[in-house]
Amino acid sequence: MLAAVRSAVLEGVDGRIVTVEVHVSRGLPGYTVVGLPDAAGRESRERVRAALLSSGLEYPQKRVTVNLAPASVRKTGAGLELAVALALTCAAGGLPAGALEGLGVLGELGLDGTVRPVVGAIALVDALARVGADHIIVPAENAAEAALVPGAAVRVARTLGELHACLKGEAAWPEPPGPPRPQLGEPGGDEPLDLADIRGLAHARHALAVAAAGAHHLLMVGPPGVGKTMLARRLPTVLAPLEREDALEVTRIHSAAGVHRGPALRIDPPFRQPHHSASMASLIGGGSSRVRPGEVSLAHRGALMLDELPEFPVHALESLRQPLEERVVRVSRASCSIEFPADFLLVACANPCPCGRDATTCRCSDVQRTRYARRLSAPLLDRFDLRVKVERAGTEPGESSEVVRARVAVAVARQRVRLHGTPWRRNSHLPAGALDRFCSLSNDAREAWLGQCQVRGLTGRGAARIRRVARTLADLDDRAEIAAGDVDRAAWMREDLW
Amino acid sequence: MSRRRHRWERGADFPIRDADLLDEMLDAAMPLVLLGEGDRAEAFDAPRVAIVGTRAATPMGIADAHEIAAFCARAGITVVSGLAIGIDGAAHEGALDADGLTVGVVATGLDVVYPRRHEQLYERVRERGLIVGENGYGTQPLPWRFPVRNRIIAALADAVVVVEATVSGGARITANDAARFGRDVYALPGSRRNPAAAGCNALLLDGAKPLLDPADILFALGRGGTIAGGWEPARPPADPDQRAVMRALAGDSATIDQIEHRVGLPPDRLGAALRALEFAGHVERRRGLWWPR
Repeated sequence: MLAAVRSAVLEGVDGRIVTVEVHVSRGLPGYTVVGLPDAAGRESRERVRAALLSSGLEYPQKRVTVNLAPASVRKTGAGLELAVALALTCAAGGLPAGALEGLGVLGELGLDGTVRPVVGAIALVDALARVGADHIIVPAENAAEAALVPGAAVRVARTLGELHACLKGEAAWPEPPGPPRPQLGEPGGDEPLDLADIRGLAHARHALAVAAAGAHHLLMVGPPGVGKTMLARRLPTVLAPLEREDALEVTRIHSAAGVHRGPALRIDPPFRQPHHSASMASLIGGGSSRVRPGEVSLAHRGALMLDELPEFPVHALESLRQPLEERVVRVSRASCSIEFPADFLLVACANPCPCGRDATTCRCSDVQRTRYARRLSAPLLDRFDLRVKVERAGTEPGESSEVVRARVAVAVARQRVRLHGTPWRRNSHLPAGALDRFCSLSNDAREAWLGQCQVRGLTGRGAARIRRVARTLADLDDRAEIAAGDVDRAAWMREDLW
Repeated sequence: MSRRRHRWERGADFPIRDADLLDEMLDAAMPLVLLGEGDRAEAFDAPRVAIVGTRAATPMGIADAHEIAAFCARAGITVVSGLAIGIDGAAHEGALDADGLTVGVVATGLDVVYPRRHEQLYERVRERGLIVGENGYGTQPLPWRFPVRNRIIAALADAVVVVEATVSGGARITANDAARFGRDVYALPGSRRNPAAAGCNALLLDGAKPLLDPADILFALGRGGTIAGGWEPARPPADPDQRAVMRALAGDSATIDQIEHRVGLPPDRLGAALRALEFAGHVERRRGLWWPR
């Protein structure tokens, strides 16, 4: 006797459909799983058996063969167990034939028959909904997440016994939870951060607003204690909230990475700040059995803050070049090649020299300085549209986050209108060929632009970067026209720091 | 590319004049033999000025060293220095750019290029001057060799100009050696806020002469008279905003925040003034700072 049901496993941040087939036949009692399961899949036998027995269901004393199709795809995790248990029950005659028709089943089993949550429920439910599953059974704890997927008919499973009864029509399905409310901010954070906490540093503050508005990567260099890190940490307080599709995409990635907290949709942009001991795999994604998204993908549509940039391993930094340019990252392993989204804003801080003292007490030799600066390659530095030197200056209190956030929101709205119907979202995404169309310069501004390029000896790439930043500066000021002053400011926000 | 090789022994044509007298003045005696490579041995026939300074030089110091060296070169004076990065390198470059003669004194063997990034500069100096040293081929750069080498720079020069120096740097050693040998020592005064000027200011306190015009060097060498190309007094820009910015910079570097804070102009006027100054070459941006020129 044979039964089959559809389930899904994670591949990168996407779900991949797996058909679970169970064959029960006469012969020596046994249990075999075929179809490239990992250790968790092979161990499923014990959990499935115990869960069935605990739920008062029959475990057949027959020869059981579980096949996970397609056979060539490596399946990781225990999320197929519920599907195996249901198919096994069906094959052994515990459920009417056809009871699993059109179902998608997700869930891990406990020995007592409870259904445990799976990682990446959004992506998995989405994949099942796309192949036309009539109903998707998800663990109760994933129900709210699953409800975020448009067009998915979700049914909730709490225990195997209850689910069995529902499928046989002996009990009513538990009520699925309503759509969750959007979630703002990390719950239970410390004192709220605000830009008003920082005094002076007008230039760097301005650069931070430009970064937030136009998604221009920002590098701040200055002695320790001057306030670079404080500024960078306050970036989330001025970022524009996510739009609905973006929020869904971000929540889905975080869910697939297992870092999504709570069932709600995430509408504040992610802000990731990995420590500088981060490995290349943790930054751009990787892993041996299942390829996981890295920090750049977790920061998708949000910001990635790298404090003490030159302290990061050089090869990890260099690996950022491709995602910074293409806004996706391709992780290739012998078994597969996976593309993760990685559209993030990079904000980095660095000391001018390894000792990190100010110029009067610094004892670093020229060789040490050069070696320190050389850790950041020219192509990497080139990808920062904004490079500012932060030095102590002024004590006047600056604008609060609320004021800056309002200006950023205006700039973002302007960009959305201007770039509507194009593949680009922010000024920094504009390719050089589109600059004449979207960053047109008045005569004054053009003169300033050509002058700045000449003074700085800029090549085409650097000149284009200045133009994009000038566009964002004008957007922040709510002006349609780029002024000569915007071009100057843009040039001054892109310094050669070493 | 192989260049002409030279070997000078103590005697009438030994490049260090009165070497026998100088032997006793320092812990280390003058070399008995000086080795050289380069196509322009006549570099030693002209009067010589050593232009030395710190490796951690500011852009202003680099520009000063370059200008002084070029001025000397145009006046037919050979520029002697140590081929280090920073002031030394700028001095050689200045002399070469003015088609003058220059002598680099090395602390290694003549075949060892140190620092590596000066490989091209070494070649240019060989072509248009001399590279000299007291060590045999293959001698590696060790830290203690450099202060010892400095006595040769001091002894070869008729006058020493220190452009920028830290308090404990090698340029001060050169200046002190030169003072013992009875050579004229000049130092460029600088701001107390500039760590690269502290050594020069200390030298001035010790009795070095302040160098306010490169033409002073000609007098020190007994070659009075005027030669074009001395320093004009800095002419402040006509525009009041620009003048305020130059005053705010006060001969030192600053960030745009610091300038804004000192000048107190509204951002658009400050921006216009900075742009005009930058385009006119009165200020330049380097290492994230604004520098007056």
